Amino acid sequence: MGGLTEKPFNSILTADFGSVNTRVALIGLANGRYRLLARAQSPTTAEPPFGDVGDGLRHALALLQRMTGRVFVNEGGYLIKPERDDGAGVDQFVATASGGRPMRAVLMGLVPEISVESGRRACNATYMSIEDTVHLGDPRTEVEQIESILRVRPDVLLIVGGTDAGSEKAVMRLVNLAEMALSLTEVGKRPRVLFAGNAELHEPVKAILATLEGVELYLAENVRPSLADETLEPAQARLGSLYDDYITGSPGGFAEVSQWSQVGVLPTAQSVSQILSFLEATQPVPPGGAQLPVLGVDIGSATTMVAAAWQKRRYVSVRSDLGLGHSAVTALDAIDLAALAGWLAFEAEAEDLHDYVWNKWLRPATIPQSQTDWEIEMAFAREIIRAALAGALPGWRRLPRQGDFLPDSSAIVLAGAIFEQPPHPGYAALLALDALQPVGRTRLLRDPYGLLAGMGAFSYVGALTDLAPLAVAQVLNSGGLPALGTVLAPVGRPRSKQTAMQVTLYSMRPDEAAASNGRGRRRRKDKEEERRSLSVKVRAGGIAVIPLAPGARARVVVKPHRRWDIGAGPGKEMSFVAEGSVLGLVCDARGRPLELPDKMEDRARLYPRWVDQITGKERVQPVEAAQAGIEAMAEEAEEAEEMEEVVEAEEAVEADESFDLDEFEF
Amino acid sequence: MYYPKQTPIVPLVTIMRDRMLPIRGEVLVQYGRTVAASDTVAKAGRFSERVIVDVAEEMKVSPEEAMARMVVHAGNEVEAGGELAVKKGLFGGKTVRSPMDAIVAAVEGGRVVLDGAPEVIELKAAMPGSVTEVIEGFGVQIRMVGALVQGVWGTGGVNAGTLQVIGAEFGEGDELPGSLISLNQRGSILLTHVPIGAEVLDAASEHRVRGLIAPSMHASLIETARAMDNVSLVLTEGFGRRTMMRRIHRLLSTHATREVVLIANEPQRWEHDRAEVIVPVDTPAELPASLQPGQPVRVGSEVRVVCAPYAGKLGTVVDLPDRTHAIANGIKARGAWLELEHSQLDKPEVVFVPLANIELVG
Repeated sequence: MGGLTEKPFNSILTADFGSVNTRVALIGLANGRYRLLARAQSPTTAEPPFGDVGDGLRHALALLQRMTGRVFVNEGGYLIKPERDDGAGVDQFVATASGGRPMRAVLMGLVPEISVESGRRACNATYMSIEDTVHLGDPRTEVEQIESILRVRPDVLLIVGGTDAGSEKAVMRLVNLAEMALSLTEVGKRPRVLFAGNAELHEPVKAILATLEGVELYLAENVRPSLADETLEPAQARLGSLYDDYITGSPGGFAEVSQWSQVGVLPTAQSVSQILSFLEATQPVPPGGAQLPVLGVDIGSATTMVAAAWQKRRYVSVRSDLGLGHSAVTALDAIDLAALAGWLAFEAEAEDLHDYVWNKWLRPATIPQSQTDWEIEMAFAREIIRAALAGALPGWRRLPRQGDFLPDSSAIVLAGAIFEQPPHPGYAALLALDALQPVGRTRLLRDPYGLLAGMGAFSYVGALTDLAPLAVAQVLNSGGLPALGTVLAPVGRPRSKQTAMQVTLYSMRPDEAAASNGRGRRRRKDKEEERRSLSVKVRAGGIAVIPLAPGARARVVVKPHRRWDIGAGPGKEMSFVAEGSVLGLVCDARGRPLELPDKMEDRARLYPRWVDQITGKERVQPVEAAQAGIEAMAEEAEEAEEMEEVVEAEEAVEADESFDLDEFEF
Repeated sequence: MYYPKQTPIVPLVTIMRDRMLPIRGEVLVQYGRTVAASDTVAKAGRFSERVIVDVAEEMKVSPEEAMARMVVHAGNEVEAGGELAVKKGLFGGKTVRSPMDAIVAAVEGGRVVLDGAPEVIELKAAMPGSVTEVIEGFGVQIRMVGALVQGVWGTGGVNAGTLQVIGAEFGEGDELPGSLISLNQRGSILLTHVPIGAEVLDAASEHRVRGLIAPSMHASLIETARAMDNVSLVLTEGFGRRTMMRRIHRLLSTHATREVVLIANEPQRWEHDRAEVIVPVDTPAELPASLQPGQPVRVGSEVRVVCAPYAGKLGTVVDLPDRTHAIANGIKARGAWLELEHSQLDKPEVVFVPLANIELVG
């Protein structure tokens, strides 16, 4: 660990060790601002035959050196730090890891649905795999339970159970069982123990377990102080620090890399959630509204993380059993192959899907090369994210949320190769929309450069210098975390040919003269009033992407159908200012909850169309191509009415579903 | 530089393999000794039964008081009926006794853990060679020379037997019929280049073949394959209906009727061991080179493609562009241009394959 740094850093190197890839990014001071200068990646080498993540890091740095001409390591293979006068080396280095061996845990608790479930959620905050669970409903004998603990050889025993004024005897029985298992384990190989149960038992627990030779006992606040309350943070923080020690002390070369960094090797999930907090705190609060959470999804080969940050709290759920490669097979326990097949636009036998998953497990780094494999991969990713989310939601009860839908959010950050690989960013957006099914309005952000983890780790350097937060903000705000699109997803059930919402954009470039819309009219108005506008009716059951280029801004008015709710109530209008992004406005009118067709012929017709819609192959048909001024808005309404008549004619067979123009408030 | 996984398919190489007990025991052979596959190289005793006696519960006292009444300690041997704890009293005491002949494994929390009589585990060499290292208390390293093919999945266990090639008449799209396996193959290791199904697994068990080397099977058969009694299975390609890479089949076929060793390791992420087929040969005067893992892919490297649509094809790298390139489904990836072996076309078939989808051969 280094000391206080006072001079500005010229350069920062970040490294994120994933299960498949090691990604490095070089950030430098250019024109007084910190920016991403270059990035590279190479396969992670934690596993045999290498067994040392340092090899993969050096491979990645060699690529970075080739791209930038900058030398990063000396003849001995060590990182040059700080940056030398000749430009070699870097001033700061931070490392994060999600690709190491997960910490193996045995969870001991009382009631499966209460304390054990809270213990499980505490474990989900970092890279742990729960290898066995011992609880009151466990049908095994004590001997079988002890033998299981001995066989599993956990790195940590987590004991939970009992409310703070509650059960003592049953909890102490667990503690005695743990004592027995520990005493049967060779000294030197005994796991660490974290007790996060009934707080009144700290002393008796210490008296029994802390006296065992070679046992490190840690105490944390009760994860379930009362039946109604859950307090996960203290246990999560302790498990996080145990993981830090564990990963640094594990084979795989992390110890050496850790020495290069001021803050050691941090768990990727912890670093990413740090950035989610940063984004949440810096999101503009809508006038009259409240700050909304920022959500994050990071899907990898071995782990999947879903996280939320809201009101200075972080809700992190890491699943070491869910992943697209190394954890593909264990993911089969959490997902349903029939549900996976439901995302495919072609007939797929369960046997073939099973084979696909096992082959991904055998060769986790592979990239789907055929169209069929690509579609299966995307379907698999959808179900994995959905499973991760289903597991996390019970712990997200405090987040603002409409019904059973995804909690409201101002932004959702998407990380993982599956969001970067697609041939068009629309696929990434579609994956997020299908898997998460956000409602109302939110923004999708992507992490194409793997900066989220690195910047999160770097923000911890903030404890040592004031410069870190500045660097983090500048890197993220200068394209480090590009916006994919602004999602508009009203709640409603799609009916045939119904218009779910009308979305109107008013460009916010006041210096630009308003243009006519092809009807040959051109008006000159007060410049502040003159705006280009575009109005699109979004058909229920489909998606419409309205381009709004990065750097552009527009005032957006969303008018939903009377049975659809964009967040202000059924049929109630919403207005906001949208920032441009790669896709623009992504209007998802497929309904919430999203219901997939049962029949293959419907899927074969619909899914390719959704892809065409979100990738822009099927262009939106504007009600008005361009508009200028207040007067034109009235005309726009007239035109909308004319067009609506067509819609109504088409819907004659479904009279009760006809679109009621009167409910539009132009 | 890109460092892909390597798949050894080599006709002659020096191979070192560890044979280890699951628990500490005794190594029976010395450094330098030549061993046969059937030789026992180490043994250990494993407790057959474990029992917890809850003394506190039986005496109706607190765990602390029970601890004070114990008359045994960890490591003591006790006979069935022997005293574990004794409580004296004016109106008759209480004695807790051992239910079996045992060794006291632990005395904690008012309870006694008893381990029953140990059973002996014998570790066979499983492969012919010479002992190049003794790992005290656990096992040995054995060196041999021979042909080596690494597979991708195995059912566990190590087996040796005479190699027989079956189903050579079948081709792409066929599955090996179980009817080809009969009593004639008892004790053999069977090699096929076409996928296998449940019929083959059943027949292999029924006719007691020692092992199967096959390209693929459906993943739904994994549990059936694992449950086969004393039959080891190694898959060379993966799951589904993949045919065997020609080079693998050709190399192994040349050793038909010879003794082969099947190490059917199921892949473990953090372990070195992979499933493999070894054909031992007499050790030449000069040892051939060992494998060199961790090699980068270069122009001229021979690689195997592991994903559709070229899965199982052997190719030679003809170009390694720095920039990404779009593949058929539109994904952009760094990759290699490969000239595929045995192209059906008149001219060499050159295709682009992502680096992530190739393995170095050799």
